[in-house]
Amino acid sequence: MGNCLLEVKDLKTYFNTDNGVAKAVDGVSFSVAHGQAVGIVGESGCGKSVTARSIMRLVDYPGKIVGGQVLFRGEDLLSKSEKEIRHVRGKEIAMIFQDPLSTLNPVLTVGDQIVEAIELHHGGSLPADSPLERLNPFVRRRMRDEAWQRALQMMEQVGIPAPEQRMNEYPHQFSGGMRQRVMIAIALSCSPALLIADEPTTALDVTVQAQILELMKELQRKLNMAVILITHDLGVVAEFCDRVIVMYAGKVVEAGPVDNILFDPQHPYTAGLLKSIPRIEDRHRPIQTIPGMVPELYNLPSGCRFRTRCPMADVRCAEEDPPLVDVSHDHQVSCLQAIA
Amino acid sequence: MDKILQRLLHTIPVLIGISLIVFSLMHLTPGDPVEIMLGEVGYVSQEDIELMRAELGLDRPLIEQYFSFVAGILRGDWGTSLRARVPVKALILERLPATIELTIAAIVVSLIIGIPAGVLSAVRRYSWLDKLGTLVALVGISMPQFWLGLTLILVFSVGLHLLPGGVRLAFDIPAPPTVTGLLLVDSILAGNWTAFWGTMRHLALPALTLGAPMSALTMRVTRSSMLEVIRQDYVTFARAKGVKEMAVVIKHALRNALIPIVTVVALNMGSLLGGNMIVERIFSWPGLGQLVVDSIRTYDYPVVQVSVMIYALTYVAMNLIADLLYMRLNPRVRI
Amino acid sequence: MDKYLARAEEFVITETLQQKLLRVLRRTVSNIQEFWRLYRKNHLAVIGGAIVLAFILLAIFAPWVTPHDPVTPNFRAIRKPPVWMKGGSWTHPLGTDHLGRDIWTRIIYGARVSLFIGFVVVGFATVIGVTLGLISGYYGGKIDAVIQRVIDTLLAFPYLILATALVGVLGPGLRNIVLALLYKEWIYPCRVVRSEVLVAKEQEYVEAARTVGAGNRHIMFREILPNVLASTVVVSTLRVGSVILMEASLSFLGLGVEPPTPAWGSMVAEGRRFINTEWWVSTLPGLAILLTVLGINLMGEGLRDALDPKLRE
Ligand SMILES: Nc1ncnc2c1ncn2[C@@H]1O[C@H](COP(=O)(O)OP(=O)(O)OP(=O)(O)O)[C@@H](O)[C@H]1O
Ligand SMILES: [Mg+2]
Repeated sequence: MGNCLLEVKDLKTYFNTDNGVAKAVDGVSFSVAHGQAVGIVGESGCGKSVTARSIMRLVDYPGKIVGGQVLFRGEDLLSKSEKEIRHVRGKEIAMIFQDPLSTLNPVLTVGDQIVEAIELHHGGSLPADSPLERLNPFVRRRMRDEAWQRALQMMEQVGIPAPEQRMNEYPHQFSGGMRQRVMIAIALSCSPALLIADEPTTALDVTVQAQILELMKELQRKLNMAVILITHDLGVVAEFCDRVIVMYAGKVVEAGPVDNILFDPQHPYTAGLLKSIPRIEDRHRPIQTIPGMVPELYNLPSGCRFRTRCPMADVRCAEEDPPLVDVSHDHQVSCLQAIA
Repeated sequence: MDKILQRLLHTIPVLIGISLIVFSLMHLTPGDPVEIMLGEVGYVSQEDIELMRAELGLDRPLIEQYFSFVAGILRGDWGTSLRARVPVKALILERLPATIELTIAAIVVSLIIGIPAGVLSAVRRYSWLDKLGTLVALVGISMPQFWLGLTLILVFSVGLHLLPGGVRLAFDIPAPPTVTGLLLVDSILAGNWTAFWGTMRHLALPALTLGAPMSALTMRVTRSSMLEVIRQDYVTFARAKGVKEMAVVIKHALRNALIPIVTVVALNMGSLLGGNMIVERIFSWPGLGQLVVDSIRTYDYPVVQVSVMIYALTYVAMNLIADLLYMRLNPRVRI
Repeated sequence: MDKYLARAEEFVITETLQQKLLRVLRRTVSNIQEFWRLYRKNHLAVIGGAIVLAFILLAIFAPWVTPHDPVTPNFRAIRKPPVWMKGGSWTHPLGTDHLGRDIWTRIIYGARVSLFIGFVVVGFATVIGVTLGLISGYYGGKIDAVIQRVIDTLLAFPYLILATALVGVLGPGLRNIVLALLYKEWIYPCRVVRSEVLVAKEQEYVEAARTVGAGNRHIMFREILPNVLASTVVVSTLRVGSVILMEASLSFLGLGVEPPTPAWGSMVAEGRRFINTEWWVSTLPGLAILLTVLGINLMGEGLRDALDPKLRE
């Protein structure tokens, strides 16, 4: 795996709540290659966002990363100092969120927010000045101007009309789609090697969704950037991703190339997810949903976590926690029934 | 611009309400206010009572009295003190600078203590520092101001001889010539650093006493406002950009948290203004607060009316300023 | 909605009065148990409650708690220090003042004045404020506008200044102090109730009641009031502390109950002259105020957390 950019190994992030310990991410492992697009899917609350935040060490109290490794270019991010991780954030790994209105700072202009990101990491292309030189007001001024120019470029690149003028406006003056473009501009301003997009289009209109995905795809190709795309929408996955990771209650239950997962799912949960997508060809059938409820994370069933809702479960499933094993090339599944 | 105008229009009914309440103060007295006032002096004749009644305009119909009262206020003719027999205006203007200086100092103290403490407490949530800070703040709002003042005097003046426990400036330091009446400003203007330092030392304990409940309140509001803001996505996003923690807290979080802080602090300005009376009394501060208490004790109604009104107007003005500040801080309602 | 259905059931199912009483009793008991379970989790709130309870009991049973008289001077025991200082004794555990009166005795008698005024003023203010708040929030329109302008106006007057001026014109005495504080105090419950009513008005259960044809008064007092009660209790509790502080300030300024009746504020004011030598005369009554108000505030915050989780920060 010389091509490997990010490797998450046995990641565990727990939340201490009044009701007990919620194991939101419980031994998640996967890897992302350079330039690859990996989708993470799963029902609400299965730990997708927590996984994403854990990679960047952005989990807040009461959450805590309790174990595992996050190897980025071979170095463990979890053992880096606060200062070192800061140079990874934004510069090497960028992140965008679901709701662009709440993600952009309401009291700062859009321009300020892009410039801030660029200045923090010298925009990737700005000269790395010595700290002393940075105190020089003229140098600062020049840096600020350069960052401003670069921000303008980014605004253009993400397709915001009249960028000169819009740089001085506040987030609330933008439409939802435009805000998401701003967020992408901020995230990509330092040409990161990996972009983590946590449901980037969920809050948007369908037509705008398509535009944003198109933009992301285009920029991904242009910057040769790897992407982790978290979504509920398997259609988006089919269109965008090379690989898919399916999560259930804090664990990876299946992972593999997008075609394998979509056309030959091995885990009953994946199969259930696929069946719950409404399709044109079987319009006459009612939509199937997975019966039952997601178990509470601080009160998980023994053995396989999915067994309480699984149509194929038997006694063994209650006793043994299924390991994640290869079923075919690059395709892993964690289900005793599927392996057998 | 519209919003400012609207806000100004909004204060008109309040101003009318204030004038009504202040006007009615004298008429709430059970019995005859004139007899009570004169009763203080000792023997008076019926003639004296009639004379005084005419002087105060109490012989005219109520409506007429009200309008002439308002007209007088607007014209700047605030009546005559019954006790001192000098214009109320002169009395008040003489006292005002001391109170203004003390109040501003107290506001500064409460912001300097309250905001950083609240931020620290929120950032270190659940730590012992946070728990201690919250408890101290609760003690701060549960504490009678006069007790705090006395305790500070007991410790810092009587006990440690560190800071003076009263008056604006020691008698052996020559005061700077009066320009603004604010001793700090006047001593800077005169280049008199001895007086400046002396004034600062004299201000320390009263300002701390007056500002204490407000700093406790500011701390609590800052803390809860920061806690609210800190869990917003834009704060996480700022961290994800690689912003330093310090800048995340100040530039991204505090800037947003300040918006509600301004409003709450302004709304509670009344407790600080009311505290004037207590603090000025304890520290023998020659300000408006003492004047109010003395005038109430001596039934000097004209002085009471005008000074109570000044306090109410100050409150209204401060809230107006706070609203403008709110608009400045919050681009979503910016004019 | 659930709540309304439950109420509808009450109409349908005919139960004997006895059954109904039993059911209500059982529900009340379980509500109290649930409340206590939540309240108990906050240790500071329990301590606060204990402090307040202690002061209440001491105030009520003052004559049995102390052998001394709070007002009669005792010239044989002038300026005695508290028990832990040199020259102190258990006869006067907190020392005596310049007239030889026992400080401990005066503090617990002083608690009577403070607690009485605190609870009475807040009690009346709550009744007035809740009623006006319900009307203001429920009907809206002109009556709401008038009430709100009155509140805005009263807010503009610093509480202590207004109270001082009012006591000044009304004259001293317990009744006038209560009146002077009530003048402004009612606006606090009023504002809370009003904003809660505005929220409650939009809720389904109110809609449901209206469609069934319930009258305005029924909706206000039977449907909405129980739902705003929790926040009213919380706010009123916290207000008791503020009112006690106000009363103490008034007595400190010499506008409280008339001497020689002991009140905490005036004890501090009198003892101030001796701050250089007999510091306990003035600081200990102040400490009593601090403890009481702190206890009430701790209790109020505990109540807030237990009764009204949405009010929590
Ligand atoms: N601040 C928190 N406190 C307590 N538990 C939390 C917290 N944040 C997350 N969790 C727990 O982590 C679990 C996973 O949350 P996460 O946000 O990762 O879900 P998700 O898969 O992203 O869901 P969605 O699709 O709704 O975004 C939640 O079910 C919750 O139990
Ligand atoms: Mg999520």
